[in-house]
Amino acid sequence: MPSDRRKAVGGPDPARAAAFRQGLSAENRAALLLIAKGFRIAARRFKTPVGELDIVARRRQTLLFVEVKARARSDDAAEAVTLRQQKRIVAAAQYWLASHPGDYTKYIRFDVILVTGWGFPRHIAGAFDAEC
Amino acid sequence: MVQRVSTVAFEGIDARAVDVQVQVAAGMPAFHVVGLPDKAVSEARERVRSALIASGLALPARRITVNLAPADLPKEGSHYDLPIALGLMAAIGAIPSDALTGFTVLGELGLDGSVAPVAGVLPAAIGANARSEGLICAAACGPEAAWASPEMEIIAATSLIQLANHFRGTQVLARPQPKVREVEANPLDLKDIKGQESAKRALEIAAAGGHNLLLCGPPGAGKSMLASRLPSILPPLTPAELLEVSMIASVAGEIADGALTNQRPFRAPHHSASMAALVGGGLRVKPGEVSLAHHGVLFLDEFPEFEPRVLDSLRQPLEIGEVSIARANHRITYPARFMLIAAMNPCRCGHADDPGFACRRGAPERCAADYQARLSGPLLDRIDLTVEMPSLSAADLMLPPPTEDSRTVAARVARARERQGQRYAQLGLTDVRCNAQAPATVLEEAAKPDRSGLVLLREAADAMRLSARGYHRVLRVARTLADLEGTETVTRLHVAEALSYRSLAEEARRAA
Repeated sequence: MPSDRRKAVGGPDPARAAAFRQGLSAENRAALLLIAKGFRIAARRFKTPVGELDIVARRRQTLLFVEVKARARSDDAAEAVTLRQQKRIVAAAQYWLASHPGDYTKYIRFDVILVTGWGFPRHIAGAFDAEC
Repeated sequence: MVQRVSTVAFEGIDARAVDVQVQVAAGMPAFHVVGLPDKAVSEARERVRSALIASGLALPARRITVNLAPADLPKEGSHYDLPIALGLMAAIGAIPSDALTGFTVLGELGLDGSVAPVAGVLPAAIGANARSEGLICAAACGPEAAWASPEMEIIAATSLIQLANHFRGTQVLARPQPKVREVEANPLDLKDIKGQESAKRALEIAAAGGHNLLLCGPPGAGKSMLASRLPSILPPLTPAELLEVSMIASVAGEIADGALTNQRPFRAPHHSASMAALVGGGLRVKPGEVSLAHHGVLFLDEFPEFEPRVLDSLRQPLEIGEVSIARANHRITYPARFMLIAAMNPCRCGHADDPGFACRRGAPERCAADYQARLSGPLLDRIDLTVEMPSLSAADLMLPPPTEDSRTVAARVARARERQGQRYAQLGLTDVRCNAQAPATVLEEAAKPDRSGLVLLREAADAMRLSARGYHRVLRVARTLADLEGTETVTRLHVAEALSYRSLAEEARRAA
C-alpha cells in the first residue's frame, strides 16, 4: 500500500513490508476488476512529486484516476480516503494531465475501489471531484 | 457550449435581470459558481447536485462553470437553484436547449428534487412580463405570479421531474390562477366600544383622510381596542395599491400560499423594535415595518416606550412617504406611505389626567411632562390628530351598546375618500388618493376656508404659534372634515374642530 509518509526507513520493517504486500495484492485485484469492466490500465503506481496515483485507466472517452483502499471492513476503507488524500490525488492527476495532454478533453473521473478481505471489491464511480 | 437561463436579482422591490450562464467543458471534474454569489447562492451547487441525482440524472464528469451575469452585482437568496439546475439539464440534454428561452426562472431546490417557494415572485413576474418573458417558479408561488398579467406564460411545478416532463410534453402543467386570500369576517367591530365618542370620531377622520392619530389616555381606556378596529372601517385597497402592497410583502416573503388580499395592512410592532426592524435594513436590506404598512396602518402602542432614536427615524418616511436605506453595498428606496396610529399613557403611572390622582413621583404634571418629553417635537408636529381618552366609568359600561357599527362608518369613510380621489384626479395628481398625501401647494387651493374660517385660522395660528407644517396639517384635517360632511367649502366649523385636535399636541410640544 502506498504511503505518503516519506520517512527514511533503515531496513525492511516487517510490519510495513506486510502492509506493502497486502496493498499490492489489493491493487492487483482492483486492476483486474477494471480490466473486466473493459478499461485499459494506462499506469500503475504513477509517481509524482506530490503523491502517487494507484491506477490510471482509460476506456474510450473516459479517463479514470483510481485510489485503491484495502481494509478489513469496507466502511473503514471508505473512511480512509480523507479530504487530504483527495487533494493529493487531484494534485497528482494534474501532473498526469500535464504529461499526457491528449487526456485533457476526456471525461475525467476520480474513482475509489475498496478491497476487503476475500470479498468482491467495491467500485465507487465518481467518488469525489476536483473542487475539494 | 454555453447554456443561458434568465433570472432576477432583487434591488428593493425592483427585479433586475440576471443571466445564468452554464458551461460544461472538458477538464478536471468540478462545479464552480462565480459572479459574486453570497453563501446561500454558492451552496446552491450542493442542492443542485443532490436534486439532479434525486431526479435520476448525474452530473457529467466535466468541468462545470456557472456564471451569474452581470458579475459585479452581488447575488443573494436561494432562488438561483432552479435556474442553475435547469441550465445544467439543458446543457446535458435532459431538456431541449431552446425550452428555456423566453422564460425567467426562480425557485429553490430541495435535496429530493422538489421546487420550494421563494420570496419576491411577484416583482420577478412583473419584471419578466415587462421584458415579455414567461416565468418558471414553484407551484406554491404560482397563484402569486399569475397576478402579474393574465396573458403571460407561467409554469409552476412542484419538482424538477415535473418540469422536465412538461418540456418533453408528456405531462403539461396548467397555468396557475390568481388567488385571493379568503377574508375571514372581521370579528372586531366599532360597535363593541362603549363611550369614547370623541375618540371614535377622531378615528373616523383619520381613516377618511389618511391622517396620523395619537391616542392618549390612562390604561384600560380602550386605546388598543379602538386602534385594532381601524381596519374594519378602512376602504379596501384599489388595484394599483394592491399591487404595490403585494410587491413589498412578496419581497419580504410575507405572502402565504401565493394569495393576495385587498385588506389594508395593519402592522403593530412591539415597542422593543429596533431601527432596522422599523425602517428596514439589515444584511439583505429588507423592507421594515413602515414599508410593510404601505397604504395601511402602522400602530405603535406604548408610543413613548419606543427608543427615541427609533421613533425619530420615522420622521422622514412620515413626511415624504418613502424610505431610502443606504448601506455599504446597497442603496434602496422602499415606499412607505402609511397612517401612523400611536397610543400612549399620559405618564408612566398612566393616571396623570385622572382627577384627584396623587402621583408617587410628586406632582402629576411633572411626571407627565417627563414622560411626554421622550417624544420629540418634530415627531409630534407630524401628527394631525391628538385625542385624549378619559378612563371609562362603570356607568358608561352599563350603557346599551352603540347602534352605529363599522359598516356604516366604513361607508362614510369610503364616500369621503372617493370625494378626495376625484378632486386630486381632476388636478392631475393620480398618485394622491387622500388629503394626507396632498402636497402643500395643492392643499392651499383645495382646502381654502371661507372668510370666517380664515379669520379663525389666522388668530389660532398666532395664538398657538403653529409651525408652517402645523398650519398645513390643520388645513388638511379641516378639508377631511368637510369631505366627511360632503361639502365643497371648508367652513369655520371645520377649522375649529381641526384646531381642537391640534391643541393637545401643541400643549405637549410646549411642555417638551
